[in-house]
Amino acid sequence: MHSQDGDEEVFEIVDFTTASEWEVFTAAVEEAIQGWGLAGGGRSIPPPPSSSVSASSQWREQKQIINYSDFPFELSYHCPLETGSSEESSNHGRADVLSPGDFGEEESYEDSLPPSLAYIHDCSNCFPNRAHCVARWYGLREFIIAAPASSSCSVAPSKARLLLSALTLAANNTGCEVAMLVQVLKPAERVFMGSVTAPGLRATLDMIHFRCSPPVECQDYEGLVELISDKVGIERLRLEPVSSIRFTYIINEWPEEACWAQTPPDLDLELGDLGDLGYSGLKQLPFGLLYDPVRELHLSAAWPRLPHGSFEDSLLRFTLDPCDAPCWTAKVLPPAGGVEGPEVAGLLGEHLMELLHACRDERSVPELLGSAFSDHGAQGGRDVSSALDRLTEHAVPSLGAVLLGPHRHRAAGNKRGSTVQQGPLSEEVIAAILNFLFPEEYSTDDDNDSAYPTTFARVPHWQPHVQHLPDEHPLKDVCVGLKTAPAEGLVWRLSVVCCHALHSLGGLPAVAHLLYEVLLELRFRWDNCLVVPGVSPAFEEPPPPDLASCLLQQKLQMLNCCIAHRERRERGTAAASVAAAAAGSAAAGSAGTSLLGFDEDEFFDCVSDDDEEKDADSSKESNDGLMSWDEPEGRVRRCGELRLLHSRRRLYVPATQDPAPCTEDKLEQQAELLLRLGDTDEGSAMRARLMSSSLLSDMESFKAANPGCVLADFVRWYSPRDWVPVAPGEDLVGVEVVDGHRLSDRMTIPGNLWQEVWKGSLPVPARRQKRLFDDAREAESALQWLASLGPGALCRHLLPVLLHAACCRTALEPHLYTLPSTAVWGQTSAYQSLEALPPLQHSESLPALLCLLTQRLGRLSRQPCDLNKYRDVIEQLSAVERCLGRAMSLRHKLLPQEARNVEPKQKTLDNKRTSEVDGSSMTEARRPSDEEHRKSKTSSDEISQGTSDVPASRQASSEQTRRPSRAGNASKHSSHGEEKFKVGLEDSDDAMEGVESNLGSQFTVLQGSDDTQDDKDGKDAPKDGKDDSAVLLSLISSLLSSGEVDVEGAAKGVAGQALLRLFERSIEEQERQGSLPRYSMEQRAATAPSARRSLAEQTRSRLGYPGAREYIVRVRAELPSRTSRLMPHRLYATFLKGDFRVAGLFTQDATFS
Amino acid sequence: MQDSECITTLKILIVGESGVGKSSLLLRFTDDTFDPEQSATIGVDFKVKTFTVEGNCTKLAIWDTAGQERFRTLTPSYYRGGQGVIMVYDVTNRHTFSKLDMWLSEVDTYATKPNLVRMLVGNKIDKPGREVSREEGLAFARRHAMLFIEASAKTQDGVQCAFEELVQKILQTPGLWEVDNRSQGGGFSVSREDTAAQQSSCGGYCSLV
Repeated sequence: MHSQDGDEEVFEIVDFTTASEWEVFTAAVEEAIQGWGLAGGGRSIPPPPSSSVSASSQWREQKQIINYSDFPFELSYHCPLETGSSEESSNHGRADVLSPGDFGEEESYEDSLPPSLAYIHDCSNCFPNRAHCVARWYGLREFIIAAPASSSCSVAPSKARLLLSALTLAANNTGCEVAMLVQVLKPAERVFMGSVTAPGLRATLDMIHFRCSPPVECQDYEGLVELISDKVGIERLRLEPVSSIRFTYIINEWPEEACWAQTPPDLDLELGDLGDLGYSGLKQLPFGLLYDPVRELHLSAAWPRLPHGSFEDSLLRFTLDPCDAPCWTAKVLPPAGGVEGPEVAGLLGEHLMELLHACRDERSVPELLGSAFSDHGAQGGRDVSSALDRLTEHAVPSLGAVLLGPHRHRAAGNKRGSTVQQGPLSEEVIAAILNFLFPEEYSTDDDNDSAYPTTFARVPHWQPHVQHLPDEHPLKDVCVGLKTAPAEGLVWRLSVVCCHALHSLGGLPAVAHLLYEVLLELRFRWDNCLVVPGVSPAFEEPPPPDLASCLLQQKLQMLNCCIAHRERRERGTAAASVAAAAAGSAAAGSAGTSLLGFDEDEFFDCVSDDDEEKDADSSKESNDGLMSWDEPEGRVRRCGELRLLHSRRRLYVPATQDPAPCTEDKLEQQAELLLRLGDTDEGSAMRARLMSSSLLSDMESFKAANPGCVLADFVRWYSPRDWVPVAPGEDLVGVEVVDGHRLSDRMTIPGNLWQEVWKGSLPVPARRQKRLFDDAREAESALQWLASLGPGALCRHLLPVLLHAACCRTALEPHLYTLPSTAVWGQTSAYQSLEALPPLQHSESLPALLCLLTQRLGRLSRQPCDLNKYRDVIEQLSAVERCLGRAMSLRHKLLPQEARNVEPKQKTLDNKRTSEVDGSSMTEARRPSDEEHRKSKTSSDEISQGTSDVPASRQASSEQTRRPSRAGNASKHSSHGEEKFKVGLEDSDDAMEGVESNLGSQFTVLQGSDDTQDDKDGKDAPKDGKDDSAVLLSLISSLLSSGEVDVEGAAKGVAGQALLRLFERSIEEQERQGSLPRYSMEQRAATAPSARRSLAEQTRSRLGYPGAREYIVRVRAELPSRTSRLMPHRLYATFLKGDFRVAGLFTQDATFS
Repeated sequence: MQDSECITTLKILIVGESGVGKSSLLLRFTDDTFDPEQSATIGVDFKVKTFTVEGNCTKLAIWDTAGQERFRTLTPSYYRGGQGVIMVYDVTNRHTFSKLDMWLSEVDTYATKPNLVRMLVGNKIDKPGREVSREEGLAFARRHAMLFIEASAKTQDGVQCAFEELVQKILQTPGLWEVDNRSQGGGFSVSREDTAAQQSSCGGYCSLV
């Protein structure tokens, strides 16, 4: 504290220059306390924990770094985040705080307690699930901690006292009644000591922590009471403590049958087996976890309020049976890295991350593979030969060349590979991959499943009835916004293959090799006029680049445009036929005549038939190439009923050149060019000139198609709104008026660009005009662009596509549809930041979360590539993957019957499907609207099948009528699930007609297996099996969603029974293995209470030994002397294996000491 | 102009049927002039203007497009990266109003920023013979969540106001314009580190076992 040094000077100089480090520190702490608004006693009490929300209660932290000398300490303030209105909370606030009546005395001490100590005798939430350990151990609701800022430093106890005195002084100076604590020793030991000062009292908080077994005298409850009685100096009998006790039982070694993990995909195996083109491993993204994602199950049995004498817990006698405890809570722990470490990613997450890392690589293909793989070498030789080829080759590739093309090329490519240099990928692997990427289009092989679908969408083909997934692809709507590539197209496949190449086939060099081979293939296809497959729908004209897709896809589309254009051009010039007017669209010259015919039909009753005949004749003439200069050419169709203003002939829409297809990077360049012209008038004029090339082309085509036309004719077709009606009383001097219309003012301005271009244009049909699109140049530029990509850059382009594929892959998991979105958050959010994702309503389902993720991906895909943001998406997808893994593991553990159905060992795939049926059944239970929807569908099916004579509207009764007939086998299926299942079967039977007809027999398999199981497990299976599975599934989903779950009904409830069974199985297994001595309940009951046994032996129950025991002992006693007021005290103790901790909070009366 | 003081450059598009007065609106805004004989735009044109709204200096690059149908194959490429779009119709011509749906879908298809600000402007309110009432314009704008104003490039009514509103709205829309600046700064990674630090230093939120 700064002391005011004596003399009052005139200028009131206060000198702090001599303040010690300790004083400076104290002042800084005071400032922090003031800053957080904790000074003074009159603050409102933080709201109490209401037990309903306690499990998920969040804590708020405020932090500040304060230096003591040059050593940084972190001062943090903690309080619960529940910011509900404080008035409300004060009403029913301390419902469960021990009242003096609990101690059998009248006097009240509560009023004298500061708010920060108000809850130390609160029994309602004595074992919070997630709280700062200080809150757990001392029962505090708000506190300030000073800890070394770096976690590697430790604070010696003597230093800690110095710090604590500074904190206490600061609290005194500011009137702050919040508990002040100092972290002692190493941070990992989590030892805190502290004090609370308030008017009339002072509390000390102290802790003992041993990394070994506790001393004999405090191994049990009795010992703790002894300890507390020593501390307060009152004999035990007068204490009458009220306690809370909790035992936690742990399964960390799962019995073999309950263990769950996926077998890793074996790419080597698949690739080694080259005979049957079935590299399914390469074609799909992997999904799932290779380890059991549930490491430990914790079951805690708690007695929140045990008056003294109502139980015994000592070495002599132990009467607490966890199966009788009123509260059970359960939680699961993820594996590896501990709770706070990041979890190991699943297969999908791992693969995605690898691609993300590869994106940062800037090396080129030759840098990775050596100069033999440089594109120049390949290109040089190739270009010369193909140039010669082109001279000699027939313009139309022969059918044989087309058919043999890929083979020929692949053979050539292989030869090159073996003679020059061996890449990281073997010939066979490359051949397999290329076959997958560029499948034989003309293959007659029916079982060649590599062929691309004939149409493309943004989501893959969806088979709801086979896989028992929702009727529509859940991502159908959101995937539209993705700037990626069509699902299951070439780019999509390339992304998947690259992902595998990175992960399993040799990393980045493998990708480089792959890129090199793909480039060779593309160049080959351009050279030989072969359309690249999997880029756009088959059997259609290649569309111009789709700007809503990624650049890579656009480039390939561009290449296809060039290939198609070139083929048409070469065919056109070679055959000199009219068939292909070079306009490039379907609206070519020959189409014009046919369309004309159509028009004639339509307008047969037109007035001037003669005129039309003449028109038609002349156009035919022109097609025969006999026309003179003013003969019409390149007509497409009539433009309505319009006639030329002067000749009164019909006005025809000409065949025009399509605008050149363009990829977005080229468009950007063009826009850039226009921008560079500046916004001056000259710039504008220049721009207009640059842009007028297409106007000129259109005008020339128009002139060719409509001999004798004038600008006004052109305007009536091209810009009809510039052909304006004459207003009455208008000055019409020098204006040409036809049918009461005239050209608009802006078109008649002398010297305007439209007129100029019109004057400068000649009648030239589109196919004889200068090309607006140069296919050779564009193709070369697209290929060059691809060749300039390094493998890292390729990965950057593929990343959004791969993530798109990953989202769709995740959507295929049936368990996705059984879980709420909170299941992902529950375990992860506490330790990992998923903040970047906007919060969902808690009621929403996991698919909704996936949709949200996909939407986010959509936004990212349209922005410049930001790898950090993509990393977030990947982490979130990983979280979903892990969550699904956990769900499967828990189902396997807690629903043993069903799980046995899934067991892949001797059962077939069919049975696996039946388990998926269950998955969808739960979806319905949770989503009433969907259920409604399906119900109606179901009932209609039922009627058609005649399986039920009940009308559609009476669904409920129809269920009942059916139930008896299937009694006993429904133990694990909800009724809706059964129906859905049935519908699924019927539909798929209908659809597939025996192709997969064993679906039908599946049903009987399911029934049969269930029957036998019921016989077998007859005594275990509860009567009301349907409800049971619902309870268990909701238990699973809440285990995933929140850290700790209340088990309804404790040991007596359905969930409790299931957990109990799991524990018993685990104990059996351990007994079998000899890691646990055999022991039966009968034995225990028979043991005489007087027989002295160890406490460990005493505490053995049906759940095994408790892995942790926690005791809270609350007493009231006069402190520091017999004349003081009755003050509350609290002692907390945990007994873990090799870890023992006692934390005590003792208050002293400062008024009557 | 003083580029350095501008907080950002915004790209704004003007679209609509031919002859509704897109170029005139632009000219009125940038040069405060009106030319009844404004020639028909060919392809696209643009103007740049530095504009200050509520003390925020912004540089506007306004792209003016041709309304003719044939040009519509050329112009969409210039929609890329636009933060705001002004859709103009002629209040004295119902046809231009009824084509708005088509223009909307055009914008939705080609605009790359999903949350770009859309403004509906009914032009030529100085002209007699109105065919589209203010209420109809309002209703359309409301249905499609757009800004709405009626204006006249000739009498300059509402023109300045329209651009002002649009720019303000763009500046208020999060994520619409900061992206450019942020992509250089890498602000995102900073927040990641923060959360990491939080995790490590606390260590107190533990479970029992």
